[in-house]
Amino acid sequence: MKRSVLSVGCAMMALVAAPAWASYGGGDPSLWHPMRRSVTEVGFDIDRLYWGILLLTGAVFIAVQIALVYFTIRYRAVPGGKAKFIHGNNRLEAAWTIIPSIILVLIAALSKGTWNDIRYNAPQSEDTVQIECIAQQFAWYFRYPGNDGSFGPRDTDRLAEAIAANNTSDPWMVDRQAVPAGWTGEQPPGADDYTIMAELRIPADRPVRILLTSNDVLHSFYVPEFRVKHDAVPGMNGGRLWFEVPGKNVQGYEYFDLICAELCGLQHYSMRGKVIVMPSGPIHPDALAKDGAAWLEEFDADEYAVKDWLDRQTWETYVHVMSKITAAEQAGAEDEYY
Amino acid sequence: MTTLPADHAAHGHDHAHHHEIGFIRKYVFSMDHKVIGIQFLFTSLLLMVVGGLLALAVRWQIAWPFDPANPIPGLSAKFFQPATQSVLITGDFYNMLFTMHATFMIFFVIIPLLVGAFGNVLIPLQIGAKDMAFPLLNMLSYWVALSGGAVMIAAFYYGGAQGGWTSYPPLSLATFSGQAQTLWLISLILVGSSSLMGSINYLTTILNLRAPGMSLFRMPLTVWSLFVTSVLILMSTPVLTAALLMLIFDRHLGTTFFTISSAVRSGAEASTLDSGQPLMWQHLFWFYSHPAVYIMILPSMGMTSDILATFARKPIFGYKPMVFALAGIAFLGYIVWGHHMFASGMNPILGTAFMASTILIAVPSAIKTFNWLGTLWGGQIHYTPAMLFAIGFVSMFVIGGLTGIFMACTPVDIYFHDTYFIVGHIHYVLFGGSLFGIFGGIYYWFPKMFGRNMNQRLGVLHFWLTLIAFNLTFFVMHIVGIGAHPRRYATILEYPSLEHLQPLNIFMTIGALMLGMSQIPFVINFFCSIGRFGNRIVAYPLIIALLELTPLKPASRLWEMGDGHSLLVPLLGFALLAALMALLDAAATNAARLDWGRGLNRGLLWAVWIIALPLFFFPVFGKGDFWEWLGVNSTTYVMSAEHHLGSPMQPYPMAVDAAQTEPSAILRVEATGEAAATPVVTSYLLNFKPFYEAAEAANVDWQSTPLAEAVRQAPMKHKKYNQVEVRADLLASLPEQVRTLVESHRLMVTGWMAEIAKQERLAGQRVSRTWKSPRTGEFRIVAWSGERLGWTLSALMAVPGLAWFLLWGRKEMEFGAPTGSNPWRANSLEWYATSPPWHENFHVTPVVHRGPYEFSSPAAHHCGRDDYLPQWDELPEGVEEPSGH
Repeated sequence: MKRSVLSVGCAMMALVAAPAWASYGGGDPSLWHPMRRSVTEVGFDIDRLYWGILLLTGAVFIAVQIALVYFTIRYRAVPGGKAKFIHGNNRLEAAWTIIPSIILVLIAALSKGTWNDIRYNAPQSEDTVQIECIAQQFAWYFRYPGNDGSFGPRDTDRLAEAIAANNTSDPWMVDRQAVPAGWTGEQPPGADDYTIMAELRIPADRPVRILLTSNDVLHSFYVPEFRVKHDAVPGMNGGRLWFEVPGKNVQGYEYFDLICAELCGLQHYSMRGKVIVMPSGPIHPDALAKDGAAWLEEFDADEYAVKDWLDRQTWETYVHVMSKITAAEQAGAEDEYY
Repeated sequence: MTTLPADHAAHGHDHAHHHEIGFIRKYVFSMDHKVIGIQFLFTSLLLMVVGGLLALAVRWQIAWPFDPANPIPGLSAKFFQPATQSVLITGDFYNMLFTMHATFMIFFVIIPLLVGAFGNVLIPLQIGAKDMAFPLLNMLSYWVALSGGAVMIAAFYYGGAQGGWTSYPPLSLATFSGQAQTLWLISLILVGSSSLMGSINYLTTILNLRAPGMSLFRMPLTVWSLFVTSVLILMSTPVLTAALLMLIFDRHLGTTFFTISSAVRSGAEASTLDSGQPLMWQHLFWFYSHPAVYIMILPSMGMTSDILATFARKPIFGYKPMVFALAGIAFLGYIVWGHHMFASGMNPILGTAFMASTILIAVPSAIKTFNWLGTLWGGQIHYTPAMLFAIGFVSMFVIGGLTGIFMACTPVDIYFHDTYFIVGHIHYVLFGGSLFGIFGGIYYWFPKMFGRNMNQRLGVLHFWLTLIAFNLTFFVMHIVGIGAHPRRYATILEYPSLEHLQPLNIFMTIGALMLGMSQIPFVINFFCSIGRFGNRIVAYPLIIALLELTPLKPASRLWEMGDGHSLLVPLLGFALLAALMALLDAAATNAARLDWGRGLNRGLLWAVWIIALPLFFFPVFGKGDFWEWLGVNSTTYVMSAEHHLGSPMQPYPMAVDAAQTEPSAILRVEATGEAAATPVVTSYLLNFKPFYEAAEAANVDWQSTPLAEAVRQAPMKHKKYNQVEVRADLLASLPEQVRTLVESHRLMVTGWMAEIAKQERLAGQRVSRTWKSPRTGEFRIVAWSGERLGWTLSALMAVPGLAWFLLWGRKEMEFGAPTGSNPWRANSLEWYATSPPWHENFHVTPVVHRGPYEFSSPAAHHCGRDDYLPQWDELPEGVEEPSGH
């Protein structure tokens, strides 16, 4: 009896594991399992938990559905048939109370460590890069501390003025644009702060801590490949958002999409940013902390662009078409499509 | 020889207590719990149509975003904002769509259906109370809820609420949203008040008005679940109401409960006086809205338990553990609200605590699931639509519950939070769970509500269509969620890392359109069954394990539609079907544009449409009433012998006590038309072949048995149905075979008036054609069935559609043969890249472009739809094979 239960259990696990492993395919996304690889170490931990839960719930799912289908076929009404007169079974009740409890508590216990890593164990080391992220309808603004390594005051009204002055011609706001300096004050430490829109550049192999806040409504900082998500709440500085991207994991990526995951209004769907992981090789290791502006200017992302899942040619065609539409829009053809 | 003319006794008894009250007091401002329940039922079902159409609009937008050539049919921004010239929807319009969809479905459909409709109808009947404890409060709860609905509909006039159904501030503050948000808040306060009135009423009724002998642990699980639900409502709704008021104050009175001051936004330390905290709203909101999830699933669980037990012909497995599991879910439901806030910036210590409690809530859910399986084990399962939906509930709820474990685990939730994985999860719980339970409940208790039964075949059709379309739509949501598809996005095409999921979006949208269409059989079945086309055979389904279904108390017939309305209802259904098919047709046109779904195009769809059309006319052709309407005289008889009291199925001592004095079996004959009051009924019973056979087998003359004598003596004069009630001692005196027959079988006789008349002329002879169903053990005598003619006509009507499909539709099918490229890999980005810009094709008929080759071909721009054929094998002239394709 016990052996048969065990073998049935193994068969169940195999039933789930085979398609799961097939869809996993070494981590590459497929149609049936389009999750892209994690590029951070914490992300690997999250993925391990995910696969564990997937196998477990998959086994339970298949077992229950098979039992359900079997019962509905086996016990369909037949003429003259009589149903069993059973009120219940306390041993069974105890079994299916205690066993799930143990398994579920185990899941919670195993998750605790990773949760600590995500939220508590942010690196405290000297080479941690601190970048402030200010979310505002409908764009992301990133502020680098400049040479002195510390931020000036964050006056949101002045930021709004600076943004308004910096007239953007890109309706999609996906291209990075520097916000004119000065909104952080003329005195140190704010004088050398460097603010850029829509594009977050981070060094590889160094812990990055994002001081996340919002200027108006709730937003959410979501980079799927980093397995990070944190809401941007006005009035909170969200110091618990951090990640470290090993350079070896980002080979083949041009950039990562930064997605707003919390409803923020009219153009929530187009509040898009790019995260570019910059190899620290050709650049001075401390350049980021020393002189953010210069470091950003001298870096050319295209040098490191490698074609991957995105067909670059198609993308360029797409951008071309969109720019034509934009041109038409500016030429006064709004009525035709709005 | 003791016969009780109990139907007359029961009827007379019933009417004696009803004073003559006017129409308004009886049906509109009624204080009768049954009428109020049915008012809730109709209102919610109507609003379900609104919510469902909003959902289809949401899906349409995601699949074919901002496409001027294919705006959402019948629902453009222009419709709502006449001042604008736009036919395109905008981002905020889209936000309105999903906000109002969720609001309607949660607050105006599922909660009122479960708590308002089923709670009102079932609680007094199942605990043996005459009515609710506070009838006036009960009436008020409906009218307050209705006014809440009116306010919510009025919000459409102001553009609709756009902050999501969670309405997180600051987005829902006055700075970022319009007047509709205020109306939304007011409406929810009204609905919440209605819920509170209902819950106080239910709790009082259940605690104080139970019949003698109906102890708490003898209550049906439906009542238990409604009891627990009422406790949840009573304790959590005030919190939501307070939060809603605070938000209204913030918006209009200048308070700062949730408003951040400018200084704090700039990084200053928050003082307690001048700046609020947006996260507080989330805590208050979810303190109500997480229990609300259980408010929406617990009654469905209770009803499912009762339905499973009834149609598996078994008592529920583990009654007490089921009750404790309900209570456990309710208790844990109060301490898990923070799992909606793992990514919100809440203190991570709270995250750990909420992870533990959330994960534990899977335990009572598992207990319930295993007990349902135990109930099915060893049963005799009868597949009525109610039972199918109950089994479907178990199956779908398992998926919804298991996917919940992913989100309960905080690290994994960091990835899945606010993605479509959540959307899939919640729809498996609320559609596959709550709504399947609701459908099951409607099919099960419909006879009790309206005195008629619903068409079982249409019900089965409804179940299978719904199950398939539901899974096509919502299972895929998990997959795109795994691919990080964010929720509440009007389009994902702006994200290169997401746009490859777009074909799945189109797939889901077509699934959703199918799901919408799948409800048509239900709508038709529901309304036709209330009206004259209803199957007025009230043979209660099988042996009834529940007190309230015993036919001792005749069902009240609330609505009797006049003859003039007979055809209106099916025609209405037909119009609805036509509208939805037009939607689907347009969807297919779009699918063709997107270089995907070529198998599913107009040719196939119109063929399906024409073939399926007659199916929906089945209620018209399949019922005798249609022929009666045409002048052909017809009637339907049913004779059912229900052994419903004193059986081992009855766990309730009250009923067992009743068995000592009450009849123990009922032979019921339902008849319509002029046949009802004729002696035909008597003669039919007396000439029923199985009785003869059984009596012969026992060497007894059937005509001289006490049962036959009882039948002869029973006065058969009622217009709608007649019944002979057989007391226990009479039953005992019958020969063994006859007794078995009466006890264990439901006898059904269907026949035409002409045939019956013939039988009458040939009185004394046996009915010529008998048939015994091998599966259910039913006896059927089918002299001439209207159903057969109905099916024949339906099949004939399908012929032209089929022919059209074979002759012309097939061409369009070939047109879409997926050669040359894998359609799954053709993404919409490619389509964007290869289509001319919107402003160029806005005023012209859309030209189908597919693939990169045709785009380069000048001919492709000028060819019409019919002469266009894809040249997958050879490239057009002057076009080079692009690399990378």
